[in-house]
Parts: sequence; structure tokens; C-alpha cells
Amino acid sequence: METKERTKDEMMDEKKYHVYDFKRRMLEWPNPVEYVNNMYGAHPNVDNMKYFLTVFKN
Amino acid sequence: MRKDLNLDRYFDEWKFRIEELIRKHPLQIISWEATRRCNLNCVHCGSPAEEVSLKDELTGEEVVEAFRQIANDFDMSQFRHINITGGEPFVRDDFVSILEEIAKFPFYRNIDIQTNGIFIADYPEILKDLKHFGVTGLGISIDGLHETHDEFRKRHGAFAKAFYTAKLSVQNDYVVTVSVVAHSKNVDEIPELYEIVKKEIKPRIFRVMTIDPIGRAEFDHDYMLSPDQLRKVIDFLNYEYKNTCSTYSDPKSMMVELGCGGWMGKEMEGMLRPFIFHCIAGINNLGILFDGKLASCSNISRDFIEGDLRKERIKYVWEKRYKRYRNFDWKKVGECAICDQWEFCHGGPMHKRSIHANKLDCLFKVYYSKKE
Repeated sequence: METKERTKDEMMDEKKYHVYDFKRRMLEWPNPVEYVNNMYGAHPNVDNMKYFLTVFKN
Repeated sequence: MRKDLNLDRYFDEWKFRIEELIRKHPLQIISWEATRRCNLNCVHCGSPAEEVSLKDELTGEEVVEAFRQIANDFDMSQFRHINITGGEPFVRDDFVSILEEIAKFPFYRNIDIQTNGIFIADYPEILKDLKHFGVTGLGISIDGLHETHDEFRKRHGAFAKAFYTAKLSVQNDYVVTVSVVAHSKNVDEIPELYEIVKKEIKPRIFRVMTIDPIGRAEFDHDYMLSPDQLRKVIDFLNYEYKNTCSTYSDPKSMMVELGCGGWMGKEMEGMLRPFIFHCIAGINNLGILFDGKLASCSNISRDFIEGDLRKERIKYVWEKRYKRYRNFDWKKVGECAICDQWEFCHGGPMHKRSIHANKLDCLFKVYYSKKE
């Protein structure tokens, strides 16, 4: 039981750090409104995935 | 595994880059309000027809000439996309022929259209044509489950058509955003709608805007969100974002996104949408309104019109005016004057401001206000 709980905590930690890493990469992106530029329906399609591949790289 | 979670330094650098962007204000987006006419009469419309004189609508020739003028006068090296709004763009008889003309310019190849989905549902073959004219994205509004959406839209069958259009657009490889305006009568349905949209439509983005008392909604306060309801929406998006963000590098995944209702603070920004928010109106986003007036997003008060393309060169207006969009001191009143978030949000989105600098609800302040 103790081992299982610890593993769950570790998983939570890992998830939390992923979210923070993604956020840090958003903040580091050269164009500070890179994605705001793409709000509405004009999110990049499969030909223009650089932002997503970089920011949300696991 | 333990990492430094303090991102203050990164926020400071981001802030510096925002200030640089404001100083340079490169043209990256054109928001074109194609018309104020619409085939619906929604209770919440931020750009209602009754506010304006419809006979002043730009002709097709004037629209194409405006885009030609921009292509000739501006540095287009950083240009990104055209966002077309309304009214309902497809009620213009000449809409597709305008797109055909605009698409002849090499810069205008990434166009998105905000639509209620009625026209495309009735004429689905148009999805094939739009591809040829640079349209890559479609934003389709679905404001609740079946009955709620139809009531909100005041049209029986509107939900079915919007749903069909969204599904068909995904199947035709458009980048699709399903947009929901969260209000008091649909807030409890949003999680269920989210699951249905994710399972059956599979768009790239599930976007939630919180309702603002602007446009037609200014006169119907029954739809406004209470602070608890707003927190419910934000917490839902935060929860789903954290659960799904590790899949966002896959173009087939569905992302959640809080719309441009405002800055949410350093803790929550980057955890509600796949970006850090700053209003881009008049900074890199030029708005051409239905009658040729120059401003930014069409839901911003017409008190913030900066010029008229029927009388002036667009480039001149962009360079010489737009001071209110780039110097924010006039917004530093009321709670903004003493707010420690000012250096990041600069008073929030322009569509929430009146000419007297009054601001509609600040999402950050409401979210962190004392719970009822």
C-alpha cells in the first residue's frame, strides 16, 4: 500500500513538472504572442507544428 | 526529479518581449469583419446588426482593394493570417469571390473564418472551394447542448447544423475550433459538451469564452456568470488542460483553450490554454470593420475606431494612430491602478474597455475573489 501511494505521488509530481516545463517553453518562445496569433480558427495545421512540437515535447 | 518551479525570470523576459512587440507593432494579423448581417439573432452577439447602419457595408471591390493596399504598403515578412468574422460572413453573396481575389496575393494563404455553421451545413460542397482560396481554419460556435444552443441562437435546428458543419470540416482537414460562450444557462453543460465534442467532432481546439455584457448581452444580465460559475469554468479548463497537455504535439489531439477574456495571473497562465495571454488588438492585429473603419477585433467598442480606409491610407493610420492600443496608461484607473498584475496584463483585453476606461469584470480578480 505504501509503495503504491508513493508511485502515485511520483506520477503526480511528474505530471506537474511536465506542465511547468511546457509553461516555461511558452514563456521562452521568441514571439511572445505566437499562439495568441493563432487563436480563433487559424491554429497551425500539420505543416506548421513547430510551436507545438517544441513547447509540448515530453 | 525536483526542479525549480519559479518562473519569475521567464515572465520578466516574456514581458520584455511583449514591450518590444508593442514598440515595433509588426502587422501579423488582419481581422476582417465581413458584414454585420447575420442569418441568426443570438442573445449574446458581440457585434449586433442593430448597432450600425448596414448600408455602409464595404463593397467587394473595396474589400479587395484594401487587401491590395496592405500588400503594397506594409512589410508583410511577418504576416501570419486573416481572421474573418461577422455577423455571419457567408451571408455576403460575394464572399467566396472576395476570397478568390484575396488569395491571389501570396501573403494571404492562411485564412480562418468564424461561422455559425448554418450556411456550410446547407451547402457543404463549399468546403472544397474554400481550400483553394487559402482558408485553413474554421471556428464554429456551439453554445451548449442541443436545446440550450437552439434557445441561445433562437433557431430550432441550429445545433444540428453547427455540429454537422464542425464534423464535416474536421473530415475535410480544416483546423477546427469549436467555440463555446460560457454563460449562466450552459455552464453546467460544458463538461458534457466537451466529452461529446471530443468524441464525435474531434476538433483541434475546444475553446471557451466567458460571456461579457457587450453587444446584445449588455441588455440581458440573466446570462452573466456569477463568480462561482466563472470559477467553475476556469477550474474545468485547468483540470482538462493538465490532463491533456502532454498530447498537444499531436495535431490530431484536442486542446482546451480559455478565450481572450483576460490575463489570469502568473500561476494560472500557461495552464488554461496552450499559450500565455496578452491582448494583441492594435499591436499586431489590424481590424477592418464592415464599413471600412479601422480598429481591431470586431467586438471592441466602436469608440476605439482609429481611422477609415475610405478616406485614409491604412498604413498611415496604423503608424500614426492606435496610441490607445499601444500605450496603456489611460487604462490604469480603478482597481487596475493598484493591481500588482498590471505590468503583465496592461489593463486586459480591449473589448472589455469603454471609452471612459471603465473595465468589465476582470477574470483574475473575480477568480481570486472571496468565494460565496
